[in-house]
Amino acid sequence: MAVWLLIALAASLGAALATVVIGDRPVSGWISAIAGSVAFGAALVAVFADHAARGQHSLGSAFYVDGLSGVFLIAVAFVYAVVAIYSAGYLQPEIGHIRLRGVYWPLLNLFGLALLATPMVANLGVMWVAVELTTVVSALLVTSEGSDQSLEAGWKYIVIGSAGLAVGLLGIVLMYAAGEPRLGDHYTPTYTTLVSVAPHLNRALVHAAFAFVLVGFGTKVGLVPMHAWLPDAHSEGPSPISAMLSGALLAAALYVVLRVGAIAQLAVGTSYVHVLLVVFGALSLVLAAFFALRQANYKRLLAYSSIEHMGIVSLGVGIGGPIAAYGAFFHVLVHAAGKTLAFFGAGELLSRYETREIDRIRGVISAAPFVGVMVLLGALAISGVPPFGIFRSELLIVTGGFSQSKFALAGLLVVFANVAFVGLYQTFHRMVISPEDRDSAPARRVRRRGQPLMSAAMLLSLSVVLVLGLWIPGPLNQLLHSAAAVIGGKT
Amino acid sequence: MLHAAPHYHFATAAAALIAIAALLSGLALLAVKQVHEQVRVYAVLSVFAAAYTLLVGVNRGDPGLIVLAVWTAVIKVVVIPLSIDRAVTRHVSEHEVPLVVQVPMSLLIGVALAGVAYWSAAALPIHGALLPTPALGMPIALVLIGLFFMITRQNVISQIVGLLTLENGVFLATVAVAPGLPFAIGFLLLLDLLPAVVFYGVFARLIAARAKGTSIEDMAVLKG
Repeated sequence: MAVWLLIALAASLGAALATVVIGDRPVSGWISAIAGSVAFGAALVAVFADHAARGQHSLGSAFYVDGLSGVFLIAVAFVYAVVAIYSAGYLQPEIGHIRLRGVYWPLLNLFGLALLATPMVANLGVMWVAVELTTVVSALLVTSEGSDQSLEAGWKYIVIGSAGLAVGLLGIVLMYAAGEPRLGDHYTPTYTTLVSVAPHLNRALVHAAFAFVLVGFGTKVGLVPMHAWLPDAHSEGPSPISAMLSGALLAAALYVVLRVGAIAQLAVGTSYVHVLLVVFGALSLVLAAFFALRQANYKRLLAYSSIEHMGIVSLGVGIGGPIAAYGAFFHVLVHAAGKTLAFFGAGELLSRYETREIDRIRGVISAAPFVGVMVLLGALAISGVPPFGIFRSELLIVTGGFSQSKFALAGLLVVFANVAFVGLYQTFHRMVISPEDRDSAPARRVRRRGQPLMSAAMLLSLSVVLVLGLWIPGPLNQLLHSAAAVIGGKT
Repeated sequence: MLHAAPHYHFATAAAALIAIAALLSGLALLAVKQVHEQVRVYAVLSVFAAAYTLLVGVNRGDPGLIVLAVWTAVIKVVVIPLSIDRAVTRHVSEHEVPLVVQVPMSLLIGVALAGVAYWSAAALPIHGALLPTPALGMPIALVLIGLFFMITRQNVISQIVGLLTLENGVFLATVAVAPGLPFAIGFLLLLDLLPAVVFYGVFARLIAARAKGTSIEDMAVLKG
């Protein structure tokens, strides 16, 4: 397994170095697209072909990939691959408005590297470093359009994200201290080490550690009320970066919360971990659904949808039981595919209409039929409409809620997923189907020909979110069951 | 034992003094309005962070912590404050920071936050290296004061100083309760470097792009 994990990391690191040397030339896009695809392929092989090695350390105790990390690794590797492919088209001068083109490719690949490393590494300290690295590179990527608004968004993201991660680090330090009475004061804080002594961990410290980790890393996840950076960064960053933030970064940060939660539940019982996840998850779901209704900027709308979906995952794990937890982890995968499709569509709209305002875009379907269809399907996919995968995952979480007799939580999900659906679908229907009116943006670039790499990336995301709605392959089914067994699956 | 005891008492007393001085530095930050002075108070706080790390390193005979103390002194006491100071001199027109909460009220809130920190730290059954109980009181107080400072100072540089103060709190907590954390040296070094990277990467561009000061009141476009 270690070989495949190393190949994934080496591909992104190699691409980062190569693109530093090559600079702003089309070949940098191709190198990044190939590196992303290789990393995704290697991650698939590591998780599925070598499944006997799942749940064991590899490369000494450097890597640890079990069901939980496998799900998140597949999600971030997929997002990295499709974003790199899409970016190779989007960065052509006549399409995207990236001013800092020279640093875009190295930073994108470094972002991929840090995201891939987060679910792979065994040491909680290294995990924190990987997430911290994502903040620095992605904040710079958010500012890469060079506008005043993108600088403001990048600034808010750095300040709030760094403060959150400092608090998260305090949580990891407390978890380390909780193990000291049993393990001594010189041990490596890996998941398996801490789990092996979980019943003997200091309970008061574990309570505090998980709370700090949830609030600290929850800031990066975008959980309400620590979400203030997220709508700005998602809306002002270039669209492929918004896709990477939403589909991969939020998931990677949530992974750390769940990994520490998996230790905490063995030390202090499942109810403490579940209750905290439910509180933050429900708050995020409810508030983001309402905020989605009043947005005038379609990228901010998608950003609030990301907060809502992270809330749904937290709620699903917090509801507990094998069905809801399975649904929550399935949701991580389908959200990654659905949200990349939606942000790729938003990138097409922005490049053609040069506005983020919902009220200035009308009649996309007649001006650019392929883009119109993709944008509408993206909106339907992330709204949880059948037959897309998100419908299936939400249905699983609701079913899990009923099976655990948590009717109020299941009902909450049904109601607010529908509120978000109304906000999302109405908006995108208006932009795509309604005819052009006198307030519409000038369609100067609307009718440009489609860019093959951008179209390919959208079709890839669409096919994943659609196929997974209809069919879950056996190995993936097994992976999701083993993820649920790590956290959430036990009551 | 007879030889060890005086050494132990000296280290404990010194650590207690450093903890008090660090807490007072954190509170002093709330009392200054000038950007330059805020940066200097941060440098003083970092002196205490480095001194405490050195003390624990020497007491434990841990060369890693001694290296970390030297590194902290170089980066946090000299390099970061000087870089920020230079940028302030070059770019900032308004050297006095507009306050959301005025100084007397800020100090009162700071003292209250320190009280909350000591009260909540007392609930954690943990002994810090050399520090008086509750060991995490002072570090958590610095985290809370740093957060409060970031929220209530309407200036980009003050927000950096608040963030760095918060990080100093986490740094002190790590040295206090997990001095043996083997990876600590590596990731704490990174922790110290990243704000500097951030500072040059975004803030310098922010100022260059706007050339109109560092008040975050200018940053009010993105809302909702």
